[in-house]
Amino acid sequence: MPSVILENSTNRNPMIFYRKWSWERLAEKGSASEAVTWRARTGDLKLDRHREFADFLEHIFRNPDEVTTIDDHSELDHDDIAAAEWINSHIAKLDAVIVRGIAQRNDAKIEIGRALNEQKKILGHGKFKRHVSEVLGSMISLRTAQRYMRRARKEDAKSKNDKLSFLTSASDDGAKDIKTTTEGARDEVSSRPAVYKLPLRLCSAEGKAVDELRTSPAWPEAQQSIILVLRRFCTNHGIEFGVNKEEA
Amino acid sequence: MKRILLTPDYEEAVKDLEGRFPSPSHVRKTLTETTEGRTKDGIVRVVLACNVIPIAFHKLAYELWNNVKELPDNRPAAVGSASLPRTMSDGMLSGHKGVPKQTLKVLRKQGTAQGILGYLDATQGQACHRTPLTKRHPEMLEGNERLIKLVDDLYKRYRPEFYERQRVEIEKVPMWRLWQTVFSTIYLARNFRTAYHFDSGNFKGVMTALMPMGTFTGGELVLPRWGLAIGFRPGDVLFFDSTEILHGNLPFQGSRLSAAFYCERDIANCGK
Repeated sequence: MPSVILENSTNRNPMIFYRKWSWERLAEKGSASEAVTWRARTGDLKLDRHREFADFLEHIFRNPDEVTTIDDHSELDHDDIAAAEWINSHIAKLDAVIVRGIAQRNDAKIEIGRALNEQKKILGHGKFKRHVSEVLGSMISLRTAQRYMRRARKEDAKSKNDKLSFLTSASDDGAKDIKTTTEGARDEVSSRPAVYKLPLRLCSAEGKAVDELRTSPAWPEAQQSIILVLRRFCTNHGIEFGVNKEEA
Repeated sequence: MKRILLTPDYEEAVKDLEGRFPSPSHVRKTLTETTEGRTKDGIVRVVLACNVIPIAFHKLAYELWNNVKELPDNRPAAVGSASLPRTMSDGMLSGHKGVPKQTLKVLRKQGTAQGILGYLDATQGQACHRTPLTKRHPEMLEGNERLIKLVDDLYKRYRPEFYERQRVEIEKVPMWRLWQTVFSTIYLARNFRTAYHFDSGNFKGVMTALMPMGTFTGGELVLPRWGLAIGFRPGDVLFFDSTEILHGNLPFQGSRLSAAFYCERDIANCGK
């Protein structure tokens, strides 16, 4: 995201807006309250610089003709760029800490709620209320406990519904075509015989004879006989030989 | 850049979705502007950078890359079909498996094709090599040198920590990288509406850069784990770990080409 640099004609230090939209929003609104909002976002600057910056914003809103916008980074002072980049990355890091903290806090409340719900299920209503006030009362009020329990129930219901919605299959034509043809192919494959390599120890003369048999018109019959022999052996040893769909 | 928390997390619930097609009902939120998505642990999982590729770059890439012809017969999960034994000329089934012929016919009708540019790591029976498509059409790679370097720059700018990890890996084998970038390979997919899949051939623990091209509507990339759809357009680039995050596309109308810039999983072994 390109930074927007503002300079005024009184040779004041250039100020950098780290997010372009901030400037656009400020320019659109042109009010001091927006400037205060922006000022709050630069939490790492010292107070005197805050004030100076707020004054500067007030000034440019009142005197827009004095403002020029430069998009070219090459005209920037190297230190300003480094400062802007440092603030950007530091703000992003702090954002991550805040986001993580909020997420953990919310998760913790839901976890507490779940535990309380389970306790209530085990103890029953009367005993549960007493348990909360006697054992946990110094840390959590009954009202807060009930709020957490409601929240946990809501969260569980939501995630259950959400999971169910994932089970719906895509119903567009492209998806259906792929599904139908794949099912057809699967049926065809399951009924089609595959080559099974049977390792047999044969001397070379025997191997030659079998090769000859395989190329002779007697081979289909020979193949059937071999399969029957294999089936008999399997049956005798309690092994299920498997039945083709067509035969079934 | 907008920052969002990726929640709720359906990590467990989506495990069974591999090979199934995304449906609009799987989407809770669609991203259409430059956004960074983090999970509760603070890790950035998704970065969408909008309008970062100049029109001239992605138009040229579209022209050079749109004539890929291979069918995705080796990607059953992405196609949304089963991996079935191939039928031989004598009608028997062979030991090799892949997307069935009937399904490939449907894909051909839909204009689906794929191509791989750059380098591939070693597989059973095949050493590391420059892909046949790159050998046949070196201009597909060389004509897009500036684009590839730009995507590399964007990756470095948006996710420096992942970039660094990938750089260390690929620098072990400087012969097997695309110029001085951290990418070894570019996967091209034309009119390929994918079912949910993982990109298992990519280097783990880093990010893949995904860039759509062409003239199309729809085709959002769905990450069901967070009920998230990425509504990206030509000129945008998405960074995410495609080996870890299940992803697939919603249907689209028009002509769509997408390029995935990545580093092959075992590319570092090519130097051995």
